[in-house]
Amino acid sequence: MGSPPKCSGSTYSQQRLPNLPADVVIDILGFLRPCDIIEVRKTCKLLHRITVLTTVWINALRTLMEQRSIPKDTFPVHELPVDLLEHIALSPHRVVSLVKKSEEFPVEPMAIRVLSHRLTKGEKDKYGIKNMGDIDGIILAHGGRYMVSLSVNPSDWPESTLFTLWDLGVTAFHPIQVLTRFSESRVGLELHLFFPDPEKPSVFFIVSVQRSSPIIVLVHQVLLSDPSSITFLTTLEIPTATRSDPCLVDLMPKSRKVIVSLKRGQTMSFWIWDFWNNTGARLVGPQWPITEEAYLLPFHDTIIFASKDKIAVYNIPPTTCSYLSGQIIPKHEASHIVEVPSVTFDAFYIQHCVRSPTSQESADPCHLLRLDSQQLTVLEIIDIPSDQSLIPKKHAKRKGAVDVSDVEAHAAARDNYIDGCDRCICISGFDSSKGASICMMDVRLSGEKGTNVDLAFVNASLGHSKDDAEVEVHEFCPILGRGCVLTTNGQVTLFDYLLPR
Amino acid sequence: MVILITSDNVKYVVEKDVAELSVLVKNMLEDIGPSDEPIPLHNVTSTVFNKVLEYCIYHRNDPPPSDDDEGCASPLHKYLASHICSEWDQRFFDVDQALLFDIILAANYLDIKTLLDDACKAVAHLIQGKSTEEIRGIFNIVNDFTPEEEARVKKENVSS
Repeated sequence: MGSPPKCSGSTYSQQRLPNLPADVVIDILGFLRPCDIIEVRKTCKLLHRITVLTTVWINALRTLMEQRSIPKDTFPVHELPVDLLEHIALSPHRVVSLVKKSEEFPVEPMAIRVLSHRLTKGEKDKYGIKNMGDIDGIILAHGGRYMVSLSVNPSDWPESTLFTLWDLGVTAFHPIQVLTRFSESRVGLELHLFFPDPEKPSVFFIVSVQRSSPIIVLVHQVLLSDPSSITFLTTLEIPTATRSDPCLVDLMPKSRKVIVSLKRGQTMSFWIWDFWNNTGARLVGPQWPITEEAYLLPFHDTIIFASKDKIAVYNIPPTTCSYLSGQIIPKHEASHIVEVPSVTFDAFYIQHCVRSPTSQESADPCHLLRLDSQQLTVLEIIDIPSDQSLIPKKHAKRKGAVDVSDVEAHAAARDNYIDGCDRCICISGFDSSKGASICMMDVRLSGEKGTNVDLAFVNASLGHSKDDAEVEVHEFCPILGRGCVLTTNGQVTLFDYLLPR
Repeated sequence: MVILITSDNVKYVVEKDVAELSVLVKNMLEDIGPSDEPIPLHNVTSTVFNKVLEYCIYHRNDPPPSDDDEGCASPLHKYLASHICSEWDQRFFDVDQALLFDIILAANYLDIKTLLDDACKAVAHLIQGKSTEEIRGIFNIVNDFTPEEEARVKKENVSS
């Protein structure tokens, strides 16, 4: 059926792959990376015909979105034309090629767009404010399409904070749209998290922090469509002595739980807060002197807290206690501490998941990469199966280190948006001398069970240095090859390095 | 017990739960009701069926693949939801390509989803990271593009 005559017969040297039923070929392609699908496409006519089918690219993009926890509504696969599906699915691969190319010559963005500060008359009436004010916080959701910004206008009275939800478009050809705004009466908010609800489609949450005494953590709920809205959901008050106490906020993976770490004097505490049910628990954290640079790395069952040379692992206690303002939440003590020898003080940590549809491991193992100006250390996060609450559920095992002292990545790459991309890890960063730059590490774990760590650095300056104002926030999304820069003058500029062919 | 006869007339007596991993066989058994009639498997030879049976016996107690949300689960989801490829599976698929493709065709005909997925994964593994030329070499694919077509396809599919 359908096989060319020259391929019939029983010899096994015949072309078997192109002549499999199309459904089966589509199944096989479903286990391949988008760049592999392109190689298959170029082999022969029959496979070319199959690899241009919409189904193939719907599967490929879906897989990519699941791997990166991009919510379904970011790229509605059934509404997008096949060329756009292919473009998005291939974009991480194209970004890697682009950054590698930039070692030879600087790569200019293909489109530059500036976010408008202007409010329409209707909006001015609706939100009761005269103008938007300077934007002083942005967060790009995974996928690079939706962004939330926060702006404060001190000239209006009473003072307020304006949240804005933006649709930046699937490509630079699409218009930038304001989906909705919300005027919050509190001021002095820091934007911390913007993430999709793991339970409901089209719902996102914004987590912000008001630096006051007590510290207030706010959650706003975002509905993407029908109609778009931002509404206040709930708050958590954390008693604190001074408003300058260092505070970190992060999300437990795929949950409605946030973890807030707060340093009071020499004591570090973790507040685990299920903001949906308003329940929580509190952990007493490390007692060692903690530098300013500390990293909070939540897993689904544990918290890893890392500073320059130590990693502490804490089991997350059940968060069944109801949280009421002022009520004492049960304490749980430290579980486990790992020393990581350090040469320098400027270390930062990255969580990294090696995931590929055909690899042996699925979601695990997770690796922790620790980068300082001298070396990159790779730690493997190993699950420890145990029912006892005193035994930590995870362990960080040092796998190896690579000298990176000749790479200038460290200076630029810190405290920034990071995403696993192809086999590479992409770190975007900026420093005052260079403007925004993107640093890419090609991390390969080879050998028996990934015992060897092969590393290659690609340090690219994707050419959008800003000379008029300093970069305050730089987000880079490898999915669309989109950079998003907030400068100190409150301007947000979008740089698209990829456009559909 | 179920009696199955392959295309080369080899008779197999198989336990019902093992045989029913094949949706085709399961449906046939439901259609004909309790009977000792052998079920003919027209498109499967005994060489291939031996492998299929080996797989089904090993995986007989696996949880069935979830047929969730009207078949819109992506391959990754299916992959993560299904059992992780074990060392046994790796060894099982370490066969020559001809047999691997025969297993795929048999799994497709017999409608054994997990075997089909695992075998497809094994083929994908052969392709991953290879260039067009290498893929042609591995699978004996004849380049049937005209030079003009090939130039166009190459141009349309540059890596960045």
